[in-house]
Amino acid sequence: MTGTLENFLFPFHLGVLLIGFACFGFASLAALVYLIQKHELKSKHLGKLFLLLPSLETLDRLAVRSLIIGTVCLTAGVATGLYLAHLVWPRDWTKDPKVLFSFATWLWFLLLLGVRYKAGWRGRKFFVLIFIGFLFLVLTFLVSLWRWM
Amino acid sequence: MDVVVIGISHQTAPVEFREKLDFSKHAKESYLSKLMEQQSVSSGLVLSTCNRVEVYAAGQSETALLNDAEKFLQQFHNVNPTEVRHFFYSKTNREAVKHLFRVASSLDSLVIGEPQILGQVKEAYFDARSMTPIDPFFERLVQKAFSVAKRVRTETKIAEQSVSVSHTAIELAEKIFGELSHCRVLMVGAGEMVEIASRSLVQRGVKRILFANRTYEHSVELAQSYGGLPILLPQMDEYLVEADMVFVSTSAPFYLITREKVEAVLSKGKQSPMFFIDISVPRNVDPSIHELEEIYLYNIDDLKGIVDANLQMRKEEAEKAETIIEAEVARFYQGVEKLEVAPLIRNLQDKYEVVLRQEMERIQSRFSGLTAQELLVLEKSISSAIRKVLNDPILFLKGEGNPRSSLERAELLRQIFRLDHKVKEEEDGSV
Repeated sequence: MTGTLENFLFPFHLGVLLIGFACFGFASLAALVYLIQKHELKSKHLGKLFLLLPSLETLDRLAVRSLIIGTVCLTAGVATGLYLAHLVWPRDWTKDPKVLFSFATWLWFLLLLGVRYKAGWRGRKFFVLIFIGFLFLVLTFLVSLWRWM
Repeated sequence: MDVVVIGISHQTAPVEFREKLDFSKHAKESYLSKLMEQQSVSSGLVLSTCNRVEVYAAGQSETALLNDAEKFLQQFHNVNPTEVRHFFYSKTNREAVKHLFRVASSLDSLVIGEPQILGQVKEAYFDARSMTPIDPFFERLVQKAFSVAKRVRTETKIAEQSVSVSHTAIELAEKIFGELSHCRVLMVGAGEMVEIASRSLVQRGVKRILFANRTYEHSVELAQSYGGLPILLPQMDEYLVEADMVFVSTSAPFYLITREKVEAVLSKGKQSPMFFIDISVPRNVDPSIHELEEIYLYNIDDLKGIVDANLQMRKEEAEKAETIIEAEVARFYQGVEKLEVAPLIRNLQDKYEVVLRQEMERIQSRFSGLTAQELLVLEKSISSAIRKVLNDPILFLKGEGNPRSSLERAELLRQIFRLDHKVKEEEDGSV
């Protein structure tokens, strides 16, 4: 474990994961605001909130761009994480729940980009997938903290 | 300096009468020169729009100004005074200034907050300025009206939300699509609303605009006017899948766009939002499509509901604007008063500076033995005495809280100290 912390890749691993985490957080927030704004438009009761919030298109674009940047960061974070784990536990790193969770989250976000760009998903169903992804991420983070402590 | 306004507006006179007094059909030179020929008018302007005709005039006597301005309106348009008098309103000084600020800020408009009126006031002012020199008081007044209108617009939400059905629909579209430059629009039907909406959409640079109509020639005409493409009404279904926004305004007594048609579009894999605006009565778009994911439908009642809410909001904001205007009228008069008082103080001081010089010369010639130092002491003493004597009248002139207006105070002081008379004339009667 000490070897991992001293490795120069560790700060990079931590940094990109934090940026990725922030991006997914931002994507989830944009998705949430999208759903609120959509609800305003659907209900036809256009209050002050409606005037304040940006357009659906802007929110969708913000969410997707954050998702792309977040996925790139997560890819870099997971790759460096796998390498560092391999250094510490050459044989049994695959059994580490943190690593498995991270891997699953990464796959989930890749899948998200796939459904967006291959199947053209947007709106509520796509944003629900973002929320689930964010939940995965929070779990991964909690598991990492727990492992660390 | 006095200022008056006399005129008619949508609140006081019917359109037939406003038409009679309309200046816009006459050459500017002809009516502005007639106005300036009036004896009491030193500066003035004529504001003539479809909702109001007003003459603003500044000069030395408010009574003469009112008479002359009214006479000008009646004579220029050749109308009978007894027949028209009850349509007119007139205001003087503070009330006239407040009226101009309210008009320029669009608080007196038929649709509160409409943006055209400020431009019309500016145009009236520039026309007047191009014809005759404007005196500083009137210049200051009109410039202040422009800045008040700007302040009202930026500090209140009086002009924020649209109060026309077509523009409200476009604002909603912007809340869905953001910039409309990548939007493809399908306009179904014809009529004024379609034209207004098309104009606004083209101004916003929509990517493509298609016109469908039962009469193909109408589609062609609209397409030519707004740079779009005409299509036949039966072709509408196949173009529906490519449209982001569909604006429907026809007189068809049935649903032109049914739920089945929209579901067929969605089944082709369209996932991006679609916005339908149906301003037809009876409705031409099946209202149940609003339940579909990423489909938004607003009909005429929905849009009118938003327009009414916006109008109500403008009325609420207008109350805030009235407070701003009250404050600005007070500030304008404070500025004017300072302008009138400052030269008077200077006059007073100058006059007694001359008295001092003359007294010193007299002393010098009578008592030739006085040294330069003694003369200096004497001069300082007389000067100090004069300052002390003048201190009270100056305080009276500046005096805030005095029930008399500063203009009245200034006039009183001008008479007491005979500021319009040269010192020499006074000397004759003095020691």
